[in-house]
Amino acid sequence: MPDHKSHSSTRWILPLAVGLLAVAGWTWLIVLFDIPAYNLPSPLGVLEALVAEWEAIAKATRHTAIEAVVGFLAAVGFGYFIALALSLDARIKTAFYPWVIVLQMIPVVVLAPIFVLWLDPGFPSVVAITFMISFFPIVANTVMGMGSTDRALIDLFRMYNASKIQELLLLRVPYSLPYFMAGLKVAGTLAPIGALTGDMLAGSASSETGGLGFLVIVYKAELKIPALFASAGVSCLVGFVFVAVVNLAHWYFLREWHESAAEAER
Amino acid sequence: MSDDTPLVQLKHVGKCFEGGRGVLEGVDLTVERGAFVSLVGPSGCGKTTLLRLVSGLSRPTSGTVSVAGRDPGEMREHMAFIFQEPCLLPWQRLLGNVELPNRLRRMAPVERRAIALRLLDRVGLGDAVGKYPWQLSGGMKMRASVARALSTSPELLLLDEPFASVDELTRDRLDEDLLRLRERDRWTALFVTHSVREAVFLSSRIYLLANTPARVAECVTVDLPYPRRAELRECEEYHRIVAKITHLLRESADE
Repeated sequence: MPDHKSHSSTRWILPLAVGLLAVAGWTWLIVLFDIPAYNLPSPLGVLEALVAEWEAIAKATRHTAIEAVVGFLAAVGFGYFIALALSLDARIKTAFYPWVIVLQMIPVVVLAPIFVLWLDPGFPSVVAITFMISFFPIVANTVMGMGSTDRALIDLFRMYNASKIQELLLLRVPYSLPYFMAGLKVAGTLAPIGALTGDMLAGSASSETGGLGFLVIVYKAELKIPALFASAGVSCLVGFVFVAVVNLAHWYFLREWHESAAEAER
Repeated sequence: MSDDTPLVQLKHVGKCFEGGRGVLEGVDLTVERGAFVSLVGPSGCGKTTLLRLVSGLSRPTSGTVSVAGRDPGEMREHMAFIFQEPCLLPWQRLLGNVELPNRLRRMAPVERRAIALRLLDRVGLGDAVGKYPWQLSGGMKMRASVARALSTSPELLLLDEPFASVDELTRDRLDEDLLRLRERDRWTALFVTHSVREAVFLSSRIYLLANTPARVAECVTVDLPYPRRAELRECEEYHRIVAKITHLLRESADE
């Protein structure tokens, strides 16, 4: 489709142009109002800080990224397992699902000190916080997907005397895959945020094992504002990579049959 | 089971849904082995409910439903249900969809694949086995649905307005092909439709349902010889029966 081709090139050029304009505007504002670097550093200043502080930022980024990945994977695995269990029987869902929601209501700031108490600050606490924050979208979406399975398809399976397990594995699980993927996308944006927040609230306070959240606190205390901006930029990048990987998974698993992934081919 | 017991028998069957809304009342109906019986009536009159009772997917509130003299639930492996929608699994290719019933019955993959391929070929989808449902037209999806239903060699086929959502020309073709498929295997059919033309073309007997809750208003035998081909629709006798049933349907609706 020629129409589609021209569309895909503008998809890159337009946002890139907006980004460049924003950087230009940012620089222009600083020059125009003579804003000091401790209030708003220039783009060039942020880049310089990134290079100067590279070693510390890279180390912290690695920690935060690992925390985010581990917490996210735990949330995906455990969340999916819980969703399966809840979907096995309507009574299980009625009994337990409200409590899953209540658990979700507890704010992370309240959970952080409890995790620190139980697990010690640092890696385990941050992973636990990441897990708590990204667990719910997986459960909620998957449960919804399994619960909204087409009645006619369930009847079809019943007509062939399918067992509960067959119905779950051959019908509800694939049927809920697009819903699960939607949950994965939400969880994927939340996990890096969870890890970063976890770093700040319950993370390690050593320059060796501290994450990006800790580094942000340090830079703020030391008034290294360009470095603060640089670490914020890197956090963005971590989140971006996370979302990109999840989107890739979405496309990979649904490309052949689901509208959300196969649109271009239709 | 002796061969003279009718394959499907409903005696004084009534069905109320929760809240007491009556859908069927005092329905008596018989389907002999090898017959093609249609249920005709206005939309929403309870035809689908009746079919679900025969399949055992739903239970009557009063009266008895039996298939080959037994409880419908016990006879499921000899039945197949073709729904209003094609009801294909969107994540499975056509082959996987037609294999599904035998997969659920744990038949060996090689065997069930051979059956699915043969049936897809018979319904004219031999070239589309690797396609996903979204790549097919409505008529093709319905053909796949028919192939899937036949994959377990059922004795009794329950069809719930299967071709209602395709255009008239395609529907006529599908009806002709359905009869052609039946010439070989001789399955018994209980077919729900609101099209009198379709019912007359296909059936050996037609039950008219009317009123709320629905009862059998009339039972008409269609004395047209099988095998039936497209030309039947041009013959005078066919039009006479269509006219007669349309008239009966209108009368029972006015009562």
